[in-house]
Amino acid sequence: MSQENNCEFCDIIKSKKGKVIFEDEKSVAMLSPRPFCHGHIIVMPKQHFTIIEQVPDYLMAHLSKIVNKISIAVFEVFQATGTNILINNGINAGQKTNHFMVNILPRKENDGLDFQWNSKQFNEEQMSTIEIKLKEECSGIGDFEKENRKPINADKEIQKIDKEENYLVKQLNRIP
Amino acid sequence: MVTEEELANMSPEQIQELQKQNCIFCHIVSGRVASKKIYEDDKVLAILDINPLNPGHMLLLTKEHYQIMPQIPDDIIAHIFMVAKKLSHACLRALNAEGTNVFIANGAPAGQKASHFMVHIIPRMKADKLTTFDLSEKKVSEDALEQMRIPLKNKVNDLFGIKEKEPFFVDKRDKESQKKVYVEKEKLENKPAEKRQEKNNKELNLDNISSFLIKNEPRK
Repeated sequence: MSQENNCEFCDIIKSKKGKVIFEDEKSVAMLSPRPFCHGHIIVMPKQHFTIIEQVPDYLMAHLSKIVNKISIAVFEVFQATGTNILINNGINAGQKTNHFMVNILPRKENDGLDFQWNSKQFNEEQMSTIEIKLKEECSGIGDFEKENRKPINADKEIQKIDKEENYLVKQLNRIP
Repeated sequence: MVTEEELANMSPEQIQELQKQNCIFCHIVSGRVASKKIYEDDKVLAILDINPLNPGHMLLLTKEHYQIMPQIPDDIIAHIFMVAKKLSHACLRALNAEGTNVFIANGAPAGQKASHFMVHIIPRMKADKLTTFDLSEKKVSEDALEQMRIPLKNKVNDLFGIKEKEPFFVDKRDKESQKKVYVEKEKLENKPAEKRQEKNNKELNLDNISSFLIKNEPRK
C-alpha cells in the first residue's frame, strides 16, 4: 500500500494529469513526461505493479495488444521508420520508476540512438548448462489458463466483456 | 540466386516464400538449423542467442514468418508477451538474475538485423555494468507534449475504432447506451441506400435544419 502511495505514476493516473493517448478500465497509455526520445510513449496497467512478474497473464495480453496498436499509430503520426519496445525490469536492468511500464520508442534513420551491444562468447559447456537450467524452469510455461482463473473469478468487472472470441472470454467460458 | 528481373515478376506469395527460404530463423523453427531450444509451443519458440549479451540471453521467435510487429495478429502478440513474461521469470529463478530487459526492434533504423520478428529477453546483473537500455530523461515542455498528443490520440482512436470488437473492459454503465448505439447503427445499415441519401440531403438543407431546431426546442 505504501508503495502505491509513493508511486509517481499512480499519482499521475489518478490525477489525470498525464498526456493520455489511450485509456480503459485496466490500462493507460501516455506520452512520457520525461521522454528519452521524440514521441516516447509509456503503456501501464492502472493497478500498481512493480515488475513484470506481478502482472497477471491476462493483463499482460491486454497491454500487449494496446502496445501493438500504438506502435502502428506511431509509424504514421511521427513518420517513424522503426520502433523499439522495451521493458526494463528491475533496477539493475535500468528501471527508474517503481511502476511497471512498457516503453514504446519511435525511431528514425540516424536519430543518434543506439541499442546495439557487444556480444559475449561462451563455450559449449557453459551454454549447455544455461540451457538445462532454463529449460527446467520453463517446463510449466504453457499453463496460462490455470493461472488466469483465479483473478478472473475474483474480479467481477471482467465478466462484463461483450461476447467476443478473445483470450479472456475463452477462459471465462471454461469456468463451470 | 534469384535475379532482380525474376523478383519483379514474382507474386507477393512467392516473395514471401522466398523470404522464408532465406530466413535463418525459419530454418531454426523447422529444425533444419540446430539451436538450443528453451521453450516451444504451437505459436512460438524460445532459443538461446548464439551471440548473447549476457549468459541466458534468449530469443523468442514466432513460428510463422513475420518481419515486424504490426504484421502480427493480436492473439499471437498476446501469446508472445505472456510467454515473454514467463521467460523473464525463469531467468530470475534459474540464473539468479537481478533484472531483465525485454527488448523488441522493429525495422532496420531501430536496430533490427534479421528479417524475422523476435523478442530479446536478457537477464541482467548489477555487475554487468551495461548502460545500453538505460533511458536517459529529457525535459520537455507541456505544450510540446500536448502538440504530439493530439494527432497521436486521434490516430489511436481511429485504430481502435475500426476494430470495434476489441476486447476492452467495458464499463457496465455504458452497456445500455452501447446497446442503443448498436441498435441505431443496425437500423441505419438495414435501410436502403437511397433513403439514407435522402436523409443526408435533408439534413444539409438549411431550412430544414432551422425548422428542426424550432421543433426540438427544449420545453420549459
